[in-house]
Amino acid sequence: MSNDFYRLSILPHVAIVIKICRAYTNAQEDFEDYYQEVCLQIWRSKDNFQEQCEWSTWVYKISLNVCMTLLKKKKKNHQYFASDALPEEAIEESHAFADESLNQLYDAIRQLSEVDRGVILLYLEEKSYQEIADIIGTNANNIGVRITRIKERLKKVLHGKVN
Amino acid sequence: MGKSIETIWKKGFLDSEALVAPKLNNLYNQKSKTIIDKLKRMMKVNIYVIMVFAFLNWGLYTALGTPYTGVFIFFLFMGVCWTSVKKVRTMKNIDVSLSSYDYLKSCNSWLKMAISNNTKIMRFFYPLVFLASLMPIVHALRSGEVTNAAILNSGFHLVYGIPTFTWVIAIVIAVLFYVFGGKIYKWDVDLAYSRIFRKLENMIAEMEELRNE
Repeated sequence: MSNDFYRLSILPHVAIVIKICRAYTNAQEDFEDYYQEVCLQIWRSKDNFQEQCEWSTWVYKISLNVCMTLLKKKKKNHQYFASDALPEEAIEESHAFADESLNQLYDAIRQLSEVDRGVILLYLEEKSYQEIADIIGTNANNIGVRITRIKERLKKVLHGKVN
Repeated sequence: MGKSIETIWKKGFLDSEALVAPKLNNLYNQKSKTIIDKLKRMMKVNIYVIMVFAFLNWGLYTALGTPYTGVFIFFLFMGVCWTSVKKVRTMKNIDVSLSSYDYLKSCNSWLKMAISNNTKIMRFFYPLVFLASLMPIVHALRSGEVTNAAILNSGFHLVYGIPTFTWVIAIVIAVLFYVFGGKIYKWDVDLAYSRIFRKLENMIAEMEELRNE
């Protein structure tokens, strides 16, 4: 991967790549692996990019797909449960950010299913329901309902932690 | 009242250090280890399968009335296992501290060397297994009264109670096994390892592309 490609095509969107990778990993080492894999996949798929969507949307899609796939593989390897949430004991609290509330929010997000994590990240990044639906591959109505449900769940988890 | 998740999100990422990208180094590091570990596991399983076959053949040939052939085939298979184990051990000499690219390249060269050595062995293995596999038939023909009488009355020239021309045919087939042993072995290896070999080659090619860009 050339420095130019990284500098011009990935770095402008690095924030979302980091945010997504953090939502799918606990340990710093895993985060770095996921980040590298996402960058690699963006580079690999550059020739498949068609200008039907924006480059940033393309980056979102690839980042989410790569992270979901890697997490699925990891879960399979560790024989985690296939349910929406990871078991309590499998959740390590991470301290990747200086802001403790953000760490807690990330810990709560990591308890969601792979797809729900993607949905809430895109929502927090202020993407429209339609954009989220396009990236995730569903319809906008479904997204609205889903976001309400996810927010309720996050509130419960965060409230539980605070208490 | 607690902050909304939107507020936590926005406020948390105001800190510029929250979004520092990690350095892109050691791309493929984990992957290269994983693929080689998988290959090693597959080779180990393959050796166990050959061992099981060695015992099964021994039992089968003994049951068919040719225990010596069973022992011969058993040692033949175990010999293949022994050389494979010896070769797999040499794989440990590959320095794991090399860069991912060099490590994969070394493993790939090792594989090519191992396959080339095994091809030489297999060119003898296949004909010998083929000839040995005929022994129960020879035994059955000779011990069956009707078949034995038919052979004796056939007027053919016999060697070890079997018409000479059938021995000639068997030997010709064994020679063909020797000649095409390399191709048969390649087909055999492809059957088990083609996917992982392709993956390894693709990974190296991609790394080379990455290095050259």
